[in-house]
Amino acid sequence: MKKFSALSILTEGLSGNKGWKPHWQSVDPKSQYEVVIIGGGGHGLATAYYLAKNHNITNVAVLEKNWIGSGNTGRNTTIVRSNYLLNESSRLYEHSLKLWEGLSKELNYNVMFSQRGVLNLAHSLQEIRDSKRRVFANKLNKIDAEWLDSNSVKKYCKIINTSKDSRYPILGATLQRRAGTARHDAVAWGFARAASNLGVDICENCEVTGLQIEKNKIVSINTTKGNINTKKIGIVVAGHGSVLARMAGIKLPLETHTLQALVSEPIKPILDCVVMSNAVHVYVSQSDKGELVIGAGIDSTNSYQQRGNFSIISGQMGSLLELFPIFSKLKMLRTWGGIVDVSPDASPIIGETPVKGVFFNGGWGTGGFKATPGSGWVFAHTIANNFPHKLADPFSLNRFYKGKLIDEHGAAAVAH
Amino acid sequence: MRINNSNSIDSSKVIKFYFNGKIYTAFEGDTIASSLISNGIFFTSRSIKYHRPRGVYSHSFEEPNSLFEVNSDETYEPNVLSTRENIYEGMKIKTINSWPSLNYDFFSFLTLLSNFLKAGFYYKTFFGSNYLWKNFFEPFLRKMAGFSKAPNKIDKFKYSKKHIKCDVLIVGCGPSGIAAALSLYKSNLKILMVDDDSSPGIKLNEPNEKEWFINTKKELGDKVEIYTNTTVFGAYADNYLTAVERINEKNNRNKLKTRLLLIRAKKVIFANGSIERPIVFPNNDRPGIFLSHSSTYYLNKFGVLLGKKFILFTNNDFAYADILNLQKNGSEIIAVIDVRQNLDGYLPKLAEAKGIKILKGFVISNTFGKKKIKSISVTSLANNRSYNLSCDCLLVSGGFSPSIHLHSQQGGDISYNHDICGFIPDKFINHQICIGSLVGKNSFIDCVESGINGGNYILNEFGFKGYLKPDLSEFKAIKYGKVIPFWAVDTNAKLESKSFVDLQNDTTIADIKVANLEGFRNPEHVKRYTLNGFGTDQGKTSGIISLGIISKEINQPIEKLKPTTYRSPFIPVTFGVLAGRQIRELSDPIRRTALNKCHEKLSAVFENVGQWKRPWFYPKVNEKIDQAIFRECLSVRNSVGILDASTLGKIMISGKDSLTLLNKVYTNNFSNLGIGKIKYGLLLKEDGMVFDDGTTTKLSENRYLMTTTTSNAALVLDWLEEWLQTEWTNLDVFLTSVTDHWAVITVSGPKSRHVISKLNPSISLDSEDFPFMSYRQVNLAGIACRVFRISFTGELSYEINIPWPNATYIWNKLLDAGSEYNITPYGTETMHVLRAEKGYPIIGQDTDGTINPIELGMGKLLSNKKDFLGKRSLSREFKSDKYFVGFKTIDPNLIIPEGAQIISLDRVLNNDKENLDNLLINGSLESEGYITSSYFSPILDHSIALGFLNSGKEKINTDEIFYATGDNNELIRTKIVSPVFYDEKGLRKDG
Repeated sequence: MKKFSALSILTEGLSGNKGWKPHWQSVDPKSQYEVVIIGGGGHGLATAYYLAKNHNITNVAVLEKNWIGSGNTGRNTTIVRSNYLLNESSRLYEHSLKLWEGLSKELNYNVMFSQRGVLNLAHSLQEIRDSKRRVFANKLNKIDAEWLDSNSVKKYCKIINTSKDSRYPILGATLQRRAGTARHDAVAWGFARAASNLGVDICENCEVTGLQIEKNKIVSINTTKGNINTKKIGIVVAGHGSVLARMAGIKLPLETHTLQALVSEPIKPILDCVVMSNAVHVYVSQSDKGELVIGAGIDSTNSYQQRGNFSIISGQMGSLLELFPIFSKLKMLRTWGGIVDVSPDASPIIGETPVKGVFFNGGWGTGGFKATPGSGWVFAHTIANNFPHKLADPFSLNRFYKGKLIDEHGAAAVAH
Repeated sequence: MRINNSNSIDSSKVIKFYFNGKIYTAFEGDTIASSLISNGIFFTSRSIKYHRPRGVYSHSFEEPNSLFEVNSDETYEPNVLSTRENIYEGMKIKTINSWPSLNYDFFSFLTLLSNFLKAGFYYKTFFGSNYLWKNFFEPFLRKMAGFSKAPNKIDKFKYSKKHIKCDVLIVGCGPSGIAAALSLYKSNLKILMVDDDSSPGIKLNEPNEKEWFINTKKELGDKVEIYTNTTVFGAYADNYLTAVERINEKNNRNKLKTRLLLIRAKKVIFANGSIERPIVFPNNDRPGIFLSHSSTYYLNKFGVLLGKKFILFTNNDFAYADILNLQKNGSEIIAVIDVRQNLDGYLPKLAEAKGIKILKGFVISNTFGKKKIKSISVTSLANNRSYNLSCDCLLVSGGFSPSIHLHSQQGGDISYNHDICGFIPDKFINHQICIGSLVGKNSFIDCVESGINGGNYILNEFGFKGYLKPDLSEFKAIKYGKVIPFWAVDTNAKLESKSFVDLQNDTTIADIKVANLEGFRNPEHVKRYTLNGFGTDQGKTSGIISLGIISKEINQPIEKLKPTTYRSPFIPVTFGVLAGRQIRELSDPIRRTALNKCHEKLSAVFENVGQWKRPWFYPKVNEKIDQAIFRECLSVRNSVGILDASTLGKIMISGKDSLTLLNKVYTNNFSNLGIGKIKYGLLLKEDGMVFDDGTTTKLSENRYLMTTTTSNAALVLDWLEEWLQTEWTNLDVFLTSVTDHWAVITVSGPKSRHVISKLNPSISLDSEDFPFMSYRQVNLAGIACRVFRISFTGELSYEINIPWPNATYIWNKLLDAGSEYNITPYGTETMHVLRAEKGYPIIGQDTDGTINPIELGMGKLLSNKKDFLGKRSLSREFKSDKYFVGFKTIDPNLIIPEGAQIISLDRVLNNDKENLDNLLINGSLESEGYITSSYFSPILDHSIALGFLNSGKEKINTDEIFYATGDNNELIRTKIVSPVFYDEKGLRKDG
């Protein structure tokens, strides 16, 4: 792997940029692997990377039906935070956030992790209660969290409208200063490059068409690029998690919806933090390129289409302009949809399945991006040891049988 | 240069405008672009990355270069596309991305560093130090990126929305669209036509074609509704199309800026044409270089010539029409550089016959002129010989790419068409067809024919017969030579860095090559890595060219590649018009109760509860919130209070299976509920968690009135309907929301009976005749009301349901009747305190969707005689021992913050116990519970709190001390008590 640095840019620049190498090798799959990861998004690539890095398992393939990062990794609003309410969630996401903090160096790839702070707004007395509860819970878990009253919100984010006359005035917000955003594509590329460098095969345009199970064990995978024998697979796909699991005869409690997002035309820096409002459905930050990145609400009908309805987009614009009236003349440049798998308690499912050798990591709903490195870390551990990582254990599939749910729904923790 | 032969501008109306502070003039009807060009201004902008001089490049939405800031006051607009925006009096146009001035720009040295700033350079560096990234590199990158400054003032423009239904929507009013309308217009179908331009057909040059177009439009008359200046930008499922209409400054009384059109069409005809694409060559970005067709557009529409000495660079015949048009209008044509060796089409021959020099088999190998093109270098493909030609305007045409965006937005298939070297719609989407140059027809006559056939086809779809077969014999079919695929001129590595594919993002051939070297070969990856096609023009000109270059690099035919996904919107659309009038108070409807005016008169402070405005408390003059609540609370406890409870959800349940429904959804058994009796019940979700609560009254046989919490009213109704409509379809039950049919006034307190009886002395209100949890239909002050004996305060209470219009009348009657007892209106805050004193939970405040009935201390409401929603989940293995308890602080005056977490004494080290931060130094702390409600209780003169605690049931009334987290990291000591703080025996409810 050619090491990236200012020096490499300089030397390559002087010699005509002829020496750059592919960031990752895109190859056709071999006929056998120790572990096959299905899904070449951030989570799948991170899993492969940590399998190789932490567990020395390098005979690994990542199968991606399109191009890497083409699913929700390249479609989300890139918010990274760990201020979840419940212990199980906040510890998993905090582990992830700590990995984010060193990720660019770890991968030798600038994933542009930008700790610009995330505000979660409260617009009602109930949201104040919920927010403070979350702040206190975060503090006990040593996760940085602050409660800001509306004046402090205005100080932190000068362009926000804290007027008492607005339809749902901002009564305060929680702030996590260590939270922020990252460059989503770079996360997929960076993990792919680092994994590829450690010997992982990355197979693009390779769609899984079937899973062969014998005696309740995985034996092989059928793909559009041939059959692959393996004893362990990790299903790490968003949007089609239940479809893949069904190929192994596993029925998962997942519902799939379209979630839309949009960006504005690029403008000069105006918004220096991430602002999220659950009540009025606005999640907004400004990318380094200058576009405002805005998350819309979820389309309520179930769908596998990566296209949503216009009413969702236009409907939330009033709310956005209520928070930021000065944005009215900015122009929407691009909208898109991703498909998200939502579990009954809105928390992910990570770990073993009833079929031996089939591991599942999905159901991240609308907020999986922030977990990318942490998810890969604990899932790799689980696959390597045939035993759940302690942070992943509470998220195992059997929680739905046992009834020990991890329900963040009511806690006003916006899922993005 | 203007040669005044156009009717799209009004040359009698001179308009003064400013460009970078200097004053210029133009005419009404001019765009910013035509105004600048007519004033001889070609160098208008700097590019985003290398700050290279740029100018207007095209004439429409494909424009990559000339984005401006307009004005600086409240009419400021960012990123204004010069080719789309009309000029107006006093308009102040400012260049972006240049400092200190357009001519002398500090960052123009960056072009010298292009070798070090190749695609994706920022992924390879800047990550050595988190501190430097955060405080230096990232802020600097952000500052360099982005176009205009963001607005800093509130938008004064107005926007609106219009919903339109039609039989046929024709997108595009060019020859093919108009021809389709001609087939359709006699059918009485409602036909809507939309065109992006203000003068569709303006690019037609041949007099007979122009005449046909004008006459046909006349013939259509008012049978067809035409929206010009209107761009369809989105195509959604079931023929739902979204368009934005730019409202003309003239006759615009409402000061509307733009209007959103939301169109539902039975059939859609896409006739939205194609977009000219350039050919890439070294230094192809200089001011004075234009798309070829733009020369015709500016000339025909504004009477503006783009130069005096023209050169055309082309790979197709169509561009010859432009050059011939220029020649006809007196321009000097230096030469046509045609990459093709053999030209057998009619137009090149005509050009040659008219004395135009054509260099066949030649390409442009470089251009010169620092701030405006002066000359070019041409090279023969055959023998590599080069020489220079001078010009002041260079036109480029690489063929036409069909505008497949709207078709593709819906997931429509596309395929590569070798005749036009571009992608066209393959299979049409249901109830849609595509016609004209969108499907690769490029001559006038082919387009008209395609339009007529398309119109006839749609006519047939509607069941009409009789096709239109127009006579097109007056138009001579001319022979067009073949377009050859030619995307970019081969050059050396140095000049590849100056060969711009995406002018807006400064993506060069060199960037795409580096991306290829680094493994970014899928067009989607190339786009994301090099930013090609990511600009405000969304790759309208650059997309297909980059595909051509990638195809060559990876040695795969272009037809095997897929263009990057086309996404809505086709053109950028302001947030303002998307929101329309749904801003400020209309961003979400406000619901007010029938008594709103009464509350205002009493100076109530309101609280948002869902969409409702509810009185929070009623301060008297100079009274603070705490004082008001103190007074309101004691009045209810000691005398009588009055509350507007109208927002409570109310659902009428009727039908012979009503009881079955109630038993299925409520955890407790409703079978033995008698007529006129009321029962409290809990609703669970499938996961066994409490979803809502409320009372249900049996009004008569098979008629029940269910109440829900205010915030869940709609959710509960939806929930019940979902079950009835999807799972229990055999049940004979009808649900009707009656929330705003009945206003609700609660009269509560020991004196409430006295107050109510004054409104009808004839009825007996004592507990024997009208017991707790029963209902009576009663005439109060002449109004038929429903009175329910329910209590949420623990005091004797009557909930009076009054027909909505009579609510104020009864409210005033009750205030009069209660005046001798000092009847006190109380708001939601007092209601909350009073119920907390009684330990009644509020669903949604004390519960959060993760609390089951047992944890809430309501296990006794779980029937074991019947099944109910959520029952199965409650039988699962995991049982938590968290429990709903009361918290009584050791210091009676300390109020625990709501949301506080509870830490157990055992876990707290003996020292440091008063401060959370100190405790956390050595690791995290396990939470034992949390506070959901917390108040100061005036009647108890003590702070009280409710919440959940692990093993809470066993801790009640023990001496164990717990610590609650305070707002300033202090820890508040508390004991655990029963949640019922006041009147534990429940004696007060009967007065």
